[in-house]
Amino acid sequence: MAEQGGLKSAVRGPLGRTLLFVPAVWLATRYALPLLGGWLASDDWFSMKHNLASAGLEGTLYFALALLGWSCWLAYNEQRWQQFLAPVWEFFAWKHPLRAAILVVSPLAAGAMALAAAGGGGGPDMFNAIRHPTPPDAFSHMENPFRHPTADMLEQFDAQLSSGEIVVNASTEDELVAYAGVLAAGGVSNDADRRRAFERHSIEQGRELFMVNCRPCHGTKGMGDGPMAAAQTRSPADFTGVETIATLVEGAVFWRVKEGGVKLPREGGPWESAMPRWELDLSDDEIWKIIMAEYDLAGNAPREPEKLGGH
Amino acid sequence: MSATAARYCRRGWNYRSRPAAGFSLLVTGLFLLLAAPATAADEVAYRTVLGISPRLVVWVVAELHLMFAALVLGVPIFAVIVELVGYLQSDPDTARRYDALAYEFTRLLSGAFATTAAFGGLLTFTLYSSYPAFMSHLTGVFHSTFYFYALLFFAEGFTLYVYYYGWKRMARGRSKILHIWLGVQLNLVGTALMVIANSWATYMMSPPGLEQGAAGTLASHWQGTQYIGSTWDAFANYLWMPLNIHRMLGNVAFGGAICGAYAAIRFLGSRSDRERAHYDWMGYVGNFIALTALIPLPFAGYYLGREIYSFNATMGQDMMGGTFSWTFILQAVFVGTLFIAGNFYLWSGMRRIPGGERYERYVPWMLGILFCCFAVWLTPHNLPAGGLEKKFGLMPAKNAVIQLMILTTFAGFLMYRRSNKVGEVSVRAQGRRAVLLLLSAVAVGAAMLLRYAGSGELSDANPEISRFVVERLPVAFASIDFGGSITWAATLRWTLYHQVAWLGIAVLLTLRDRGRLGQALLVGVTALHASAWLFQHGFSIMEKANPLVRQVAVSQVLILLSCLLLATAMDLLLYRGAASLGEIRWGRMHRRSQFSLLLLCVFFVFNMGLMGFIRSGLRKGWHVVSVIKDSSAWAGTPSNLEMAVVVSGISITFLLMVSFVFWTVNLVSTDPGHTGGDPGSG
Repeated sequence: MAEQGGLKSAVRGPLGRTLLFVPAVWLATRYALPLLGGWLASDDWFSMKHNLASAGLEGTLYFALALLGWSCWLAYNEQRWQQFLAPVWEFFAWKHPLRAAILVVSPLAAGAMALAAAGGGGGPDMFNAIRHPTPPDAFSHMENPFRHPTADMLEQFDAQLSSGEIVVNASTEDELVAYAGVLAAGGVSNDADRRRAFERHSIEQGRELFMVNCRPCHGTKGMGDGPMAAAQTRSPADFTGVETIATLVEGAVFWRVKEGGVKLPREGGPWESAMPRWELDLSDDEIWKIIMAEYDLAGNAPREPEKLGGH
Repeated sequence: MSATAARYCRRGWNYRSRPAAGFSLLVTGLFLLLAAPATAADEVAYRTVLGISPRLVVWVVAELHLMFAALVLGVPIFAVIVELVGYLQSDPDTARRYDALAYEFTRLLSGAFATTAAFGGLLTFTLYSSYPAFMSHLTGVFHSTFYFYALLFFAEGFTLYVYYYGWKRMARGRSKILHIWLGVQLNLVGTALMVIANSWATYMMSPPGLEQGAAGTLASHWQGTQYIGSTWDAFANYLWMPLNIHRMLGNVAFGGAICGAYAAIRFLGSRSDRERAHYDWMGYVGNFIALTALIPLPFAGYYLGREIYSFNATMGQDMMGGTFSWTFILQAVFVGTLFIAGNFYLWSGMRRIPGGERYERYVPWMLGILFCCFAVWLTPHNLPAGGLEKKFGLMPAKNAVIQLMILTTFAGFLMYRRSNKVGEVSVRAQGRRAVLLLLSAVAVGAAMLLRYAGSGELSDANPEISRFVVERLPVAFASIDFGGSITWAATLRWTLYHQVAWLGIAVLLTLRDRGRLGQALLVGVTALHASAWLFQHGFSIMEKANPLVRQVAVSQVLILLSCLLLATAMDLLLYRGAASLGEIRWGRMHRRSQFSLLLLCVFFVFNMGLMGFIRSGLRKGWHVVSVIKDSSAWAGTPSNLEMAVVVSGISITFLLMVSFVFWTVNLVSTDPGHTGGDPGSG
């Protein structure tokens, strides 16, 4: 083995730095990364709400990347590369029983760790999981009829409002009260106001349905924190933020509500969804209204199909 | 002719006849295809290929055909550019070296051309035999384009013959100009071939008359599953142009990477310094071409992806967040690796340039930035409720880091270029032309930004835009109160105006002989605009004004392009005629650098195989999306495992075949003296 001076320079050299770097990055990806994830997701360093199985996978990816980056740093400069390799070659030339011991123990330890990681991890295989299952084709192009009402629907709405079938009271939304006032006074309101009032009325109806059927799991504000949420393996969807319903067209959301977890495709799982199949209990119209209320509660708008610009 | 080649000739297999053999196979296939309507009454919808799944056979053959086609379309583009650069050189030695390099690129092409044609013929036979009913439909829609395709193939073949075999006869004077013109023609014909074939593929993905919200047009294009629209509508379908642009850039990058790998192998096997120097130079040019085309490739990819979303939101969702999302993570790994391999090669090459060590201190920083960006770039969004992917898994983060990766690669190029240069040359002192070049670059950049800022896409006059109002502007750690409200579009417009102002500042500094400072500021401010600001701001927009997300991405691209354009023009002028610390020592590279060139090539091939799978697979259970169902037994989307096995098999097969083709090319001559020898200063 190298003499003491050689050993010192090896420790200070690229090999020594590598021996410090690798465990430091491993610790960072194992322990610091989940904290960063918690902070990014909820501004709370110690929030574990957003740190399920995924943190382990991300940690592995980042650790592998860090090793690759470090290898690049070692290898692009010839002098550094040779400095890194010199102690390694010296080790192989070292006539000492410890060399044999290290050469036997290291692969065994690595093998044991790999075996433990492969067998002892538990939990579902996340490499198959996808975020957004594909809705059947029939659902993809659906439009919410209550967001895009026909003239007949609007006329019927006016008639119901005029006849008192739709009750306007203190808890009614302002736009609806104002429109009902104009209608009662015999005035002519513009189409935009009428559509707006119709939309708010639909949302109001949807919210009532949401509170009865959806709130227990998805929470009062649609944040996935209802009283029954904690009992589920996987948290119910959080509708706020940019990554759940905000990124979906309404047809896709309609499919998820209508057909529930049981109709999710086999591929892309594990879904572990406790979502009921709501078509058994709710009509299509009720589901559309609930969806409007969900977006409204979460402060989000559905993804809009892009405008086609020609060729 | 070498003794080996002469042996082949005696046996009746003339090495010059290979292009003709493949060509005849493809033409035969095309004529068979033209006969399709005659057999349309055939009741058989699907057949196996000798008992093997036809989908698998078509997948493999089509991808191999596409890979070879990419090579034979990409290589002539830069071969003719290198030839032109050589022609414009005043020093005869340098001109000869460039010309020899262009010839060597074309020599590789001649071998690959026959294989491309052969695979084209095989693909035609396979498709027509295995999917007769569907091919009958496609023939009914596109038959008139087939004639153009066949005729263009004649033109391509003959132009290539004259271009390649006439190289030495047309080496000087006016005939050289004619030769370069032939090279340009070769590219034009090749491009025309590509865009015709692209239209067939994109018609299957985005048939006309099915656009969302345009149900009224459906009847004018379709009667049940029968297409009754015009051929032009089917040809110029919605995804046609985005795919043309993406494939054009991809082909150049792919060709550059393969030529670079060829040079790397020749470098590793070199027996003399002269040979090593030549192949080092060739590898450098290959890498340069690959990276130059790679830089705008993500923009083209984004454009294609965006148009897929526009055409069919579910297809877009499947691509990035659904069935194909894990394959996109793989793609992120591949793309990141391409950037790393290309940069690693540049960093490794700095030591062969006298003075390069001055810039080495920046390399660890660039490496750190690239890897941090890489980490964000590949963060999946597929996992439930994970914290990091809530931020890093979404498009604003991805778009921001890819801008930074491109900018870092560009900065690496700038350092490489100036490694042996000393001092900064005054642009004013270079005369009116230099100032004009600078002003033209800033004018084009500013015009792009201002045009977009003033366009309908960001206009408050558009009620679709003006409805998204921001009262307080959220930024990373605080929020800014305006005391009023502006639209979200306005925040993007002001970002673009800000970039225009910095373009102006950079030019002013250059004209005051502080060009290096101006360039550094421009690159820094661009990083702040395109990556830092629009990273954070992009999330706010995604949450509050979802339909404007695409405008964020376009703004990022334009900001970056304006910077690349002006900074390149500045760089050309700042070091023109600058004092040199010495010539590049070609051939003085460590062997690991050559493996990075090989890695670049391998990852390009794998990535192309993977993306080919995704593009085609997005149709899922349809031959023609939403119109003609694939009712065969093989219609299901393959699992990721099956995809990995098949794509790997295709990629390895292609690499082996292309190695074989290049080996046969070298049977003619392996003497580097024949191809130019020592590149000198390059």
